[in-house]
Amino acid sequence: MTLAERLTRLEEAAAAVRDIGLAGDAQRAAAVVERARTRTGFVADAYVLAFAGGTGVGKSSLLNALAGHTVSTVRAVRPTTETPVAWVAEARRHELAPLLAWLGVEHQAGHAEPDLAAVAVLDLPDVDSVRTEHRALVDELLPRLDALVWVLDPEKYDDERFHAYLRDLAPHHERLRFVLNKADRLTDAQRAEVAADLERRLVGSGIAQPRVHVVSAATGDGVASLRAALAGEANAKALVVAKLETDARQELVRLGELLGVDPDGAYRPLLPDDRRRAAVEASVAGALAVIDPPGVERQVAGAVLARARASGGSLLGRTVALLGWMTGQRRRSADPAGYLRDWRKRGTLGRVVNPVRAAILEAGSSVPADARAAVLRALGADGLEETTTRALDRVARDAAAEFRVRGSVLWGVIGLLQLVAGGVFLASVAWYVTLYLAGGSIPVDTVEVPALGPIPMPLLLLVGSIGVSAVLGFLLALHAGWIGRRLARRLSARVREAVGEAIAASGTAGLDRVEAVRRTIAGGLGGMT
Amino acid sequence: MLTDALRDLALALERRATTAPGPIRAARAERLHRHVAEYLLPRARNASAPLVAVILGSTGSGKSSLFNALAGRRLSPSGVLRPTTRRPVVLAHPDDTGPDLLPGLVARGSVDLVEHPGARRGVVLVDAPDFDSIEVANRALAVELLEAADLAVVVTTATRYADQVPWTVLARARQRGLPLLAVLNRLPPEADDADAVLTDYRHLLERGDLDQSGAFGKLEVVPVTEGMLDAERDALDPAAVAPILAALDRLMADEVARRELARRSLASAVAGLPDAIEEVARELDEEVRAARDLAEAADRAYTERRAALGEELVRGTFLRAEVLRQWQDFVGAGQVARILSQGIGRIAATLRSLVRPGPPAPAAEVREAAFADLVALSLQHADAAARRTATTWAEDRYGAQSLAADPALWGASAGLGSRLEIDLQAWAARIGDEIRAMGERRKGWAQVASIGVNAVGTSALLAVFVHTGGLTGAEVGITAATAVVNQKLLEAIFGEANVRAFVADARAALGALLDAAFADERARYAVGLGGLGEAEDLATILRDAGRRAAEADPA
Repeated sequence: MTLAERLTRLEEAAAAVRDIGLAGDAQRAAAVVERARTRTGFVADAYVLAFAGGTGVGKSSLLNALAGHTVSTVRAVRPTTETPVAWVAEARRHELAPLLAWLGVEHQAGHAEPDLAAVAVLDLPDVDSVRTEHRALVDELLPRLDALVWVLDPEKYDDERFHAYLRDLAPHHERLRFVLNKADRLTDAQRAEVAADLERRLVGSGIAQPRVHVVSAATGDGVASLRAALAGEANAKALVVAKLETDARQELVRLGELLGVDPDGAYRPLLPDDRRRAAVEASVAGALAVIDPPGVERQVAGAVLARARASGGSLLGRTVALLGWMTGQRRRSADPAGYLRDWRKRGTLGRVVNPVRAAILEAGSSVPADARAAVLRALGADGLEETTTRALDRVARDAAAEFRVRGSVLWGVIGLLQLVAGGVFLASVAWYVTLYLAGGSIPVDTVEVPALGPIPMPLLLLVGSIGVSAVLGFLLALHAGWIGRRLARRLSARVREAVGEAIAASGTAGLDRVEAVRRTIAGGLGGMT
Repeated sequence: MLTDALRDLALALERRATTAPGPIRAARAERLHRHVAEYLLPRARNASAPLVAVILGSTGSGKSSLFNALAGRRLSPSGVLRPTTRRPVVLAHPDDTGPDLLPGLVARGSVDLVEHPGARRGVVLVDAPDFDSIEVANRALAVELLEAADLAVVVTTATRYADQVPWTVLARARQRGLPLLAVLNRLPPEADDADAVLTDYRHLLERGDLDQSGAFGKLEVVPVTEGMLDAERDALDPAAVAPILAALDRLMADEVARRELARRSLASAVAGLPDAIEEVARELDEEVRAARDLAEAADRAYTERRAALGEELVRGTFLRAEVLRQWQDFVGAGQVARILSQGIGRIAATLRSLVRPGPPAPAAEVREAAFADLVALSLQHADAAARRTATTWAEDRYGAQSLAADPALWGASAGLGSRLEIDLQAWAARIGDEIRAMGERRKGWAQVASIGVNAVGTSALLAVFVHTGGLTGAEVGITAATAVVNQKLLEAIFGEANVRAFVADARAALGALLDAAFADERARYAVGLGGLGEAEDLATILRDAGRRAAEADPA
């Protein structure tokens, strides 16, 4: 992977991290990208190396010794150097100017040393004096430098301040050198002893294979070998790229740590898949207990039956239906849409949100404490009740909107027959009523009562119409029940499915989001190992 | 009395040191505590105790070489490997090693005590470790010695004199008014450079307001040029540090001068107390404020969520429809219907129950399901309260610390569910007992027996959750329907007034149970804060004792 690709990966990771609310960290990562891109825009086959260290260790003296003449003012009064001074090949000054301007280096001296043409040497202000603005300046500059020589002396090589810097510099150890200056103050035996002690300390501070030069700027001891080492830096271009790559990787590692991504290990989701599945299942079960598909099924059956009775009911059936409607019984037991809409009144949201919340907490527990608040928020821990309610509301609304009882032709036919049966019933009743009211004033004998065999026709019609109506009612109930069951099953299956989808989406959307960010980071890291 | 004020102060500081949140604040209090208990108090009691002169300086500045020069013998090894001195070396005349000599440090065994008859009587010399190397233990010891000394010889070098860290240490020396002697070591041999450095150092001392802190008036800097060494004794050349030697010799010879210096050191240290105390007290103020804000945030979250839980309970809508349906089916049929109906209906119901006995009471299932729903509801609110508290706390330094230490504070505690279940079982058991007691007093017992105590108990539980009182017209549904039948059943058995009183009692007990659970959930946050802000009076005690000490007559 090229540096440009790596930077793109980091940029993507920064954007992803910003999306989940870690704005500060995203900004830091974006700054690394920006810095690297700016650096690659400048001269590529030369690198900037700076002399850094405490006040009085001889940074300027060392540069002067390297140059063979005074480049940076040396004084006894501490601290001396206030702004960075650059020592660059005269021939490349023009080429290096934009880079040095970016570094804020104003003072420059040129040289004609061909072996040091690929390196611009900076003398930096101190990092430990009472002039804290010096330290601020160096701290601001350090991340932009390509390589570093940390200058120490026998007095200061164990200072806490120095070792504090090493913690951040350790990843760049390949571009770090350490100079133990003022060797003239030590005997040969002491030099070896102090150098060994320094190396031990450096290893302890995370610098693998530290490169230590024992030098005396005053006597010139060891300066030549330091110079040879700087001149021998094989490939300036590769050094700059390696530096920027290390920056990018370090930043990705940092972002990864923030989200619990192990930079070296295999990718592991924040929440194991089985835990996640279990949480969703429990939440769906809770949601179904509240939404209550069996209850919905009953309502559907009731609604279908009511609808069937409305178009195919007998006189009695219609009267009963009318009564049911008037007393509100129908609304209670035959209104699936209303029943769905009222899901909040039939159970606790706790059964729905608790498993998800527990899963989110479990996922959030594997990120470091500093990032936990933001990650939990990104995981959707905030407003879980509201989002879940909204999701289930939508399910209920959609299902309710979709539900419609289409009438059947059969019901119409039955209705017609019921009407006929009702007419016959009424006619035969009217016959007997008339007979009764007439009270014998009408001589029955005078009218020939139609009869079917021994049974008089009116009686037959009366009984027959009741019987037919009952049979028709039975058939209607049978058919409506069948339709209702089918419709209920369909709606309930639909509701179950929709609830499952809604919970999986609303409950784990945050998890997916965070997981996507983590995968972006891990992907970037994976390409860099 | 000065000693009384100092004793109060020492006690208060000790209390602070053991309860401060975080090692830095604890260390600050402990440092001041030792200063008061191990230096000010002994010195206030005994002005003629030997003077303690401490050599303070950066690593590699030549403290041990100076020590050896002042001691006149090789006692503390100097060396090229940093840091050289890890344990303070104390040189004392045998007559001076009484219990008042560096009481705390000697008792803790943190110093190497060297008794030597050739040492200056009345003046104890201490070679301190550095305060700026990677060895943090060294810094602690050096700082402790600074607090325990009557006099300090500060050593720095031409390389070091503008370093930032030593000046932060000197700032404390100034605050406590410690009399000083100063050595500037390793000056370049070139006279111009040496003068420039010396002048610059004096200028820095002036700027640091230390130029008047000399042991004998103005602070004189003793310059030592690089390489002026006495190799035999592993020391600086005695000639180079002659003014320091002379000062120590004078203090040895002149008891009055020694007492005067000790008195001055004590007086200025006492005068510096209020400032040092203010630093601790201000931290305390800030902690009290922070703790109050955090506690309020937690209280608010839990109170609101407990209220929301209460509302849902009153509404009774938290029970699953399935549970209610099951219960309604049971109550509407069989034995129960017989009890509920009257007259002809009763006979009919009896006949029907003979033919179709109706479903067995789903008492255990319904109770379990109802409890599971109630637990889920409570968990939901406890969890939300925890989440809200944690979100507020994460914004605060101390809150964030508590959360980092105990990530479980982001949600309800893991054991809350099972705790509530146990509590609810106990609550149900009490209700069962009451039902039995109530039934035995009434003729209704036969009916209770016919349905089963368990079923009636479950009915009573449900009556606490769902009741006709809290339901509005819009919510008429399975909940209301169940409530009506359920209540009718209970009233038929026990009488209306009894049921009302009984349900009110049970509801109160349930409320208390939930209150206790929420209070315990809330209390986790108090534990997370440790003792933060608990010592509200401590800042006042500290300030008061400091003021009393500063106003007291040191004599």
